[in-house]
Amino acid sequence: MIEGGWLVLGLILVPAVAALVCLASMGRPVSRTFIWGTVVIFWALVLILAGLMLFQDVWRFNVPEAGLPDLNLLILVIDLALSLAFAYIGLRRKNWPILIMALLTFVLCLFLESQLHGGNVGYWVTVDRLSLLMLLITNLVGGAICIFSLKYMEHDAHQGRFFALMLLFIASMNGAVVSSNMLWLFCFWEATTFCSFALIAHDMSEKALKAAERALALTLLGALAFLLGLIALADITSNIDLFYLMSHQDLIPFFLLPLLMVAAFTKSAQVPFQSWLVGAMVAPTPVSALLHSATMVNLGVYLLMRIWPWYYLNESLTTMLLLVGGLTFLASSIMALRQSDAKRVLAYSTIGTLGLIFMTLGIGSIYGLTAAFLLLVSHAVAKAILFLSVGAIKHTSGSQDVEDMEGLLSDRRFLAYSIYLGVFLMILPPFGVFAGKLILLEAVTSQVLVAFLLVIGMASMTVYYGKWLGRTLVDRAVGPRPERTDPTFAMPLLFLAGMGLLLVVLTVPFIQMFVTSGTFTFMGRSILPLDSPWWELPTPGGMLPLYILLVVIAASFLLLTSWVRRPEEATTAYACGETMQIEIAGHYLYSERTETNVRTAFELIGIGLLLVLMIVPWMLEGIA
Amino acid sequence: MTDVVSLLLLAFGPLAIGLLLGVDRRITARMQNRVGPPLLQPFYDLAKLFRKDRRSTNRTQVSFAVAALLLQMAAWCVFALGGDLLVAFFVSGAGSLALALGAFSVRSAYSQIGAQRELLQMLSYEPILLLALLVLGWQSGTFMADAQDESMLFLLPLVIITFVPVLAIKMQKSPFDLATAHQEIVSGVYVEFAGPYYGLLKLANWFELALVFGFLSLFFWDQNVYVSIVGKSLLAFLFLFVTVLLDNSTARLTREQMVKYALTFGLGLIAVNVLAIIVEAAL
Repeated sequence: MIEGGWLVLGLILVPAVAALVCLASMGRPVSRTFIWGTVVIFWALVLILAGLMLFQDVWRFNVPEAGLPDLNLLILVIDLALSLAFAYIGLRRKNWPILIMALLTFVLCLFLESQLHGGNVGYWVTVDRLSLLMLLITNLVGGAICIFSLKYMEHDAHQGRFFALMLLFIASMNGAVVSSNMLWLFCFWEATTFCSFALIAHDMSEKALKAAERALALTLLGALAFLLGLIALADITSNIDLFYLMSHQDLIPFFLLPLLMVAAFTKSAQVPFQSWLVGAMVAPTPVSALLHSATMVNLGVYLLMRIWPWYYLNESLTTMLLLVGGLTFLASSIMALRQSDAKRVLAYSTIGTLGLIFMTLGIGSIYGLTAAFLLLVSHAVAKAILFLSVGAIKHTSGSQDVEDMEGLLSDRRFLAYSIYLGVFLMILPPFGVFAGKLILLEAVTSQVLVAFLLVIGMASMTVYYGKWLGRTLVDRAVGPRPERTDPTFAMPLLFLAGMGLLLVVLTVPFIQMFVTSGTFTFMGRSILPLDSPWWELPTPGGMLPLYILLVVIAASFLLLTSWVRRPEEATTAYACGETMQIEIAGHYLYSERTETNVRTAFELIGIGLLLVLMIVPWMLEGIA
Repeated sequence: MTDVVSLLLLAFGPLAIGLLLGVDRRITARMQNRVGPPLLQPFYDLAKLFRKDRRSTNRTQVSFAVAALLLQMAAWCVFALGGDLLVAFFVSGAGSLALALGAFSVRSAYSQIGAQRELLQMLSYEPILLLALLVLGWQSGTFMADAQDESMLFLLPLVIITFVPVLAIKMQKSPFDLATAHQEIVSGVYVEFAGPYYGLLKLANWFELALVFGFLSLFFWDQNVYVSIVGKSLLAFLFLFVTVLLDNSTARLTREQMVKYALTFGLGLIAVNVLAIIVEAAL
């Protein structure tokens, strides 16, 4: 697959070069055609790559290092430059933890390099179906978000910088998921940290800077854990190629795994690190959309999915994943009940869903992995739709509060429908997120006590989304006339909606293409042989009748509209004879003060869990 | 044989619920020293509702009534045809959500309060019922409805008891009848639905109850089909009686109390039962 190598190179270089061009145009507005062109190019590249791999039945291809220039020095320079940049930020903002951690990263990078002295990694990049899936998510969803931003950031003073960072983010994400060398992966990992910091701080207000610093501090902590893990690894072998290690798992030091888990938890905002993602909501909405669906948080999940074969049989580690994920899911679901800011509701929902994904990885069976794939991709599409809809609403009405969305269905029908689609993709059977949850629930009975962490969250997810939908449905007797949605807003939303619906219809082929023995060759078993029926999905203890449910849902929306169209007399709402106007407000279950207490309690439990995660392996190792 | 049973179940499940509701009204009347309506009164009521004129405040409301019914029917079909219990549970949950959304779509104080309370009710009973089903699947090793062939009466007694709050909520009984409290918020979620549309929702509730009683009946099983059927029916009647008794002897809780009591009571009982099983297995 020599053409595959070029396509991957293009996927990293096209957005990266375009980012430089955007940066060069600083001060002047970015040309719409230029962004459109860039997005279309990387869409085309990723689709061609997917087409090649899927239809030529390529499960994995490499670009060998031999004969190509040595890039290790470049990677090291980028690593060191990023560390210095972080240190500068820490110094400038007088944030000592950031400064110290950044300097530590700098030193550890050098130390690691001296230990590896170049290393003898065989490949530049390795692309398998997992990388391909990540590339598809990042580029298709990320591209749609970039196009949406053209309108959203129309009047922004720093458009050039904004688009440069967005594109750079996509480029680094693409680089991270195709890297074969763990040092390269770490370098791109740090690059995404930088992009997220700069994008969260975009409007340079004190609040934004504070949130950005928090994000930076927590993700740097993860980066340190990552580096320490790599150093422990380099102590044993100088070949730190991910795929080489897949077949030499005896070389992997046990300490590497808990350290990488901590790194993933910070990136994917698990308790007790969840606060940075909630704080990051001060950023412009397209940034939130990018962080939540196409890039940042997926990277932590990707790392643990990638190294899943290293730990899936280790009971103490998988139990820890179940506990941290479960705790995060419970905490985020309870806290989401209290939020009225739509973006905060979505933030907690993202944190919770990521918790679910970590739980599925902790199940330690191919079912769990299947659920992880389903959750990851469906969640990415659903969240992009939801964030972009909220962004479009905020752009026109100036508010992103759920309570202000009253009557949305009558004012802005298109956006209301796109919110409904997004929410349905998140909670309604048989859509992807639901399928993932179902598999998780049935598989988790092998660890029945963990089920207690799941049940409340499952219900409260329906409740907080239901409350939101309820507000948008209220009909308004008098109100503004319906507004048309700007095409630059509508197009990405339609594109994502198409993606979401296609995913639901193609659930079984999707699993056959992405989650089979071909992805993880050493597994040798797939839950879905190629001749399995496409209308239902087997789960650990049962069966999800996909198409029957799809038909019922389609019928609910089609049949009833024709029935309702018949003329009939409309009545007014019953008010016990009163004629006064009523004001409607949602019910928020508990006070803000309780919210703070709940959050603190969960964070403390989370810290306790992590300490156990770090200490127990050491002790067990000592006993052994 | 099993196919015939499934088809019979499919058709007669909701009818049996209609009858059960008739019994419910008779028992309630006797407890209150009244004679009560005929046993078939729920059917007469339903038939009458469908003969009335169609009146609604908006279209959205009606759409959700239809969606609620279709989803509840789908959930019941999944169950009666021997499908996945959790799928049936979640589809039925989507039906309850559709009911709340229909109530939300009307600008009426009672309807709005009812819908908010309906959501809180979901927060109260869904975790309990879901956990009960998970524990059932854990013990029987499968989540397919037609493969549940073990009696759980002595293994999961506390889990079965947690059906009491669930049934109270689903049958709109005190102390958990918050969303439809007729004295406070004139039937809450249902207040804006009239005539045939109200009939749709009534029917949806029948299907929903059929599912919950169906779940309950899975906890009893015997090799002899007749013993099995009699035992399952007795279990259903016992729980109906307890629910009616509670309805007539308790006062309605507040929203916060409902969430707190239902969850601590339900999850607590299940936890005790599960821990007992684990400890026993360990010994």
